[in-house]
Amino acid sequence: MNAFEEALHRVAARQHGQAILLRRSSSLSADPNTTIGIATIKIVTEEQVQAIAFGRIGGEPEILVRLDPISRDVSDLRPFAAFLAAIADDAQRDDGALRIWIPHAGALEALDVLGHRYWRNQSAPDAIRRMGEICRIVAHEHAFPGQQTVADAAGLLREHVITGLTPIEEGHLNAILAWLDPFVLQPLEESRERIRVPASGVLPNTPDQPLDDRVDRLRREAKGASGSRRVALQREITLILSNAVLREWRLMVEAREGFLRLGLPAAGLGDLVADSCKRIKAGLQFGHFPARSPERLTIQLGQMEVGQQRAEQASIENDPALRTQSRNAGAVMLGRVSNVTQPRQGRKPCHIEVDSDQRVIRFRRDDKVKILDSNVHGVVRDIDVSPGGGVRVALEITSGVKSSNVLAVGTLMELVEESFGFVNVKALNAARDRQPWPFYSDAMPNIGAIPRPSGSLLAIARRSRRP
Amino acid sequence: VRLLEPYTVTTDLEPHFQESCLASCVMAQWCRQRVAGRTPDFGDAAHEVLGEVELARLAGLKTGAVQPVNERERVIAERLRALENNLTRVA
Repeated sequence: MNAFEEALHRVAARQHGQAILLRRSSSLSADPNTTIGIATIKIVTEEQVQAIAFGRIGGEPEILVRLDPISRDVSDLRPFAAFLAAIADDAQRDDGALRIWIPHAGALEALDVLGHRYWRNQSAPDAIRRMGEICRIVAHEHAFPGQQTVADAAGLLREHVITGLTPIEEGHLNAILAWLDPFVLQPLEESRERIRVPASGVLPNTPDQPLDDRVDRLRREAKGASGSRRVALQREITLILSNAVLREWRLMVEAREGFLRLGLPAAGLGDLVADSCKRIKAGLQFGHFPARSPERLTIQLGQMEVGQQRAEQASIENDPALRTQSRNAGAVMLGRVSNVTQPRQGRKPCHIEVDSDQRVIRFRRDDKVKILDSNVHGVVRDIDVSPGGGVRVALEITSGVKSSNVLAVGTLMELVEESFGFVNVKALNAARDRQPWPFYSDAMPNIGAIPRPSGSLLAIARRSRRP
Repeated sequence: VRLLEPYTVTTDLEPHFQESCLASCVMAQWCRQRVAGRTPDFGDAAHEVLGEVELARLAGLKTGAVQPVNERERVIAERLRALENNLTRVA
């Protein structure tokens, strides 16, 4: 959606006092059997997690509070480590099917930092290292477009609905929720009031709620205290952190329920689910190995591109609203068949011409395309101006040549470029074996002395031209 | 020279509200109140693409109660009407 359309949607949402749907399909598949939630509270300045709420969705969360989060003693993390290990086992048994709900991207960042800190920490116990590894696997998975493992509640709502707030205000999960709640009559005022208390996985530190400062002071006091005084101080720290992380958990649960209440169909996500399951299963089984070599990095970038293409294709095929947007941008062409050349009906060769009123399309010659809502695929062989002043596209049909109802003059159809959906791992591994110097070496190979050209570039070009 | 208390000069300040002010400036709420009900209150992008327009005027353009005065307003009115016919409200 372009900035103009987005602005108009915001205006409409403000006028109606309700959020407005941006999509007609869900970008997230249904929750699998192993579906959990994790919410965190971190120390702002230290990037250290000081409280975690975790558990299966549908039940009450377990709350873990770290009285001294910057201590080297990590035994307080054991309950979370045991929980993640059990979840990882469940996911592995279910071929990598796992869903982790988080309230917002901040929670994932906190988990990633936790993972970085412990996954290869030799002084940490095995269980804590495994916890760190699982956190890294999950955070890594989130980097793949279209992934189906991590459900970022705030991000999902922003992707599917728009409110009458500014984009920066929509970064606040509790503010968006005000626009989804039918009992909130003044969502603008309510959401702006809610923004005063952060929903980003940190303690509030406003004049009326100076909780971050309070916990900091309580920790310092607790260090010098003993006996019942120390217990009382620790109890207050626990209470503040428990309430804060429980609030984050509840926002996440409310956002998930709000998202599910949208009732959007999750169609065409099978490939994306399979990709996510495969990566998660491999990670949990063999461990997390960040790509470092050129061929591994290229494969990873290729997989990300495939994810992006598959997510876009699923949206275009299953979401009329997004399909219209794609048509306006030229990624989808709506046209009518003006000519069919098929010497033997139901057999190859088969060529068709499609005329469209659209002035702009993104197709290029030799692009593979698909006719939406059919089994017909083809290749663009020519692009020309149609008699009506729009575009005429000539296609060679490569599959679905028996679809006589589609391949007939006058048929209205929508064409979309087919996602490539393929990473050539074999070729990249062959490149690794050859070790070409531009990618695998810092030094240029010695190819002997090259005579330095002299004179003007024009004269050099004239001399090098064949007679 | 007698320095004035900050609150005494606020009425002389000219607000230039931007989204980033909300995350960085103590005066952000004060400035935002000055653009309430106008397009800058929807964010920088909305202000840029729609221009400085009152929300009430946009409502009038949509219903036809207000006539567009230029090409931009004509397009806005047309798109708002199209959106109204297709939008799905949540809740």
